[in-house]
Amino acid sequence: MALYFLSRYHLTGWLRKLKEKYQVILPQYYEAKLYYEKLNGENVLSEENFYHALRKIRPANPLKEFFFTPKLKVGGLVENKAVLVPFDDTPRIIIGVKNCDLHGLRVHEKMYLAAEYQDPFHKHERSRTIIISADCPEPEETCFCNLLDLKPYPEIISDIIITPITGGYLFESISRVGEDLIINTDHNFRAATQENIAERAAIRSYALEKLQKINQKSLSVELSEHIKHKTEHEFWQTHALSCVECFGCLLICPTCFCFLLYDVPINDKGFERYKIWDACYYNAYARVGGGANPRAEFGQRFRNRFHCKFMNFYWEHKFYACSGCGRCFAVCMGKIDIRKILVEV
Amino acid sequence: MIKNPFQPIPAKIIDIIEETPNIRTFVLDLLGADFSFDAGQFVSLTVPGVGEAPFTPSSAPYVKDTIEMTIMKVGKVTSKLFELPIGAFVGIRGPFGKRYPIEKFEGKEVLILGGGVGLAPLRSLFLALCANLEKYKKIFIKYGARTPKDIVYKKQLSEWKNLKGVEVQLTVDNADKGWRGKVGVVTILLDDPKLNNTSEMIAVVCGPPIMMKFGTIKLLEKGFQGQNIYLSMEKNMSCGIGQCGHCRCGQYFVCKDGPVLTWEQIKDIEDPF
Repeated sequence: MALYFLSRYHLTGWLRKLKEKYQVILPQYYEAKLYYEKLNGENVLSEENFYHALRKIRPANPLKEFFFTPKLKVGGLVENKAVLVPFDDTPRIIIGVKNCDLHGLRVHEKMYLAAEYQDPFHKHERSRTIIISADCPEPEETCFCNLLDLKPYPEIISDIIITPITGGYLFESISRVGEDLIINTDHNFRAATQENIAERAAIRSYALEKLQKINQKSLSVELSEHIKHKTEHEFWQTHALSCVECFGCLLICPTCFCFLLYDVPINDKGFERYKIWDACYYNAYARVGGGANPRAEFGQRFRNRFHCKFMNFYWEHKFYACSGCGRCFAVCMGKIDIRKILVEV
Repeated sequence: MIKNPFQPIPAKIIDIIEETPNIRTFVLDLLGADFSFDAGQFVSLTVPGVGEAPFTPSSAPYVKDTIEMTIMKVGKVTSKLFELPIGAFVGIRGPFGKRYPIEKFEGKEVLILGGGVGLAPLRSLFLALCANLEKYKKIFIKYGARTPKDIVYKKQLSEWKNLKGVEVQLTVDNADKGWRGKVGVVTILLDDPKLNNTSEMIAVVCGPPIMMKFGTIKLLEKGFQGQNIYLSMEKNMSCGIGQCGHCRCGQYFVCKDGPVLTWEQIKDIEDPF
């Protein structure tokens, strides 16, 4: 919609104003690692930290946890009456979301909001959230969004896009909500100059070039077909050999959408139902009550992850259920690099 | 506010019918709830405090106030369900999945091939077909159980035999002294000279995975067309709405795209059973 500039000097003032009306979530350092965290109490982080955090790659935790809560009460029956689930209506803003996490949200939109049955909990979390996404100017060794035809800058689902540039920040309002947020919360925004815009273009070119240097081997345009025809059990078994079955890769994945419904008894009067994150690597994941298990061997379950992300989801929605964020490989104790498998397949 | 698809409604067990030593039919009163299903769809049944499991109703879909589910005691949820008395409450959610396209069966011969407790969903289908029996050329029910005491719906099976246009044949894997019928796995019943128009016939199959696999192989050998073989592909269906991922079978979420899929739909999936 429009492009604005806010100086570094005015940044914290703007954040303070946002905090008066919204719950603000943004990347913050904790023991030298970045996490999406709520801006709590009087704690307004320094502009220097904010600037630095915004220039880094995605935080360690996936964005999905703010829309698809790791453990959420979704109903139940107590004395034959439906358990009411309270909804938090606090409006909130998430700042500093990279394109890889936006892509994860896009996958979840397809799973939870575009289907015949919509998930009311996911829908509610989306409706109370304003997303201020950010460029990713310095991709790191774990990043591979370019292999999946994604860009190191926001392309989708944003209300505002923010880019740290010389002396301040370039703001691009994308939605009406984003535009209102800029013009109504702070009078220190001014129109961006051609120089500001050119700087953003240069930052984006540099990020793209850096990604191309990091990931020199491109993926086949027929990746889904290659995966379909890779039926040799040994291929998947060999790649799965160093997996210690911690399932961290699936839980931290911004696109993984699986969940388990489980019930907790309430004093013999009924039960409450919870929805918790699940992972297709678990042995019991596909097992049925009678004991039959279509994916009893770990190699089959390991392969299922690739079938899900790069074949089945792709066939249905024409994009991959992987964002190239590299979290799976960053947390892997067995040092399994998903890129290596995708190139070899 | 949109409907919460994870929220069950209460239902009361009003009768329990002992079908075999480990299979019972539970009759549930829906307590006036606005709940109906079509043959082929499934329902998620909650045993309070234990958990939820998917079952396809075995009763006629046109009966609205009650629902019947024929259930084998195999896992955590069903074991606890078998401890519940008449009068106890459970939860139900659904119905989920797609129905049998019974309008496509009209004017055709229909083969119902069941194994073990797999006859339960097929009973619901059969009762739906019975509502307009004259619309179908002939219905063959071919059913196999492990032993004579494992046969479900003994009384109904003998009654169905007397219906015009319906033929019922049974077999058991292992006979006892009193058994006068056929002995062998259910696929032996497909060696029937009356099944002579197989390229036009409809086959509807439900049973344990091994029976589904060899049943399908034999149906194809006999000349049945892949698009006319309807298979109950029940997997670990949890959410029922194609979101949680557990019932993934190839490109399908069985809970949403099935649970009944044709052989034509699943033939390219590596080991779908």
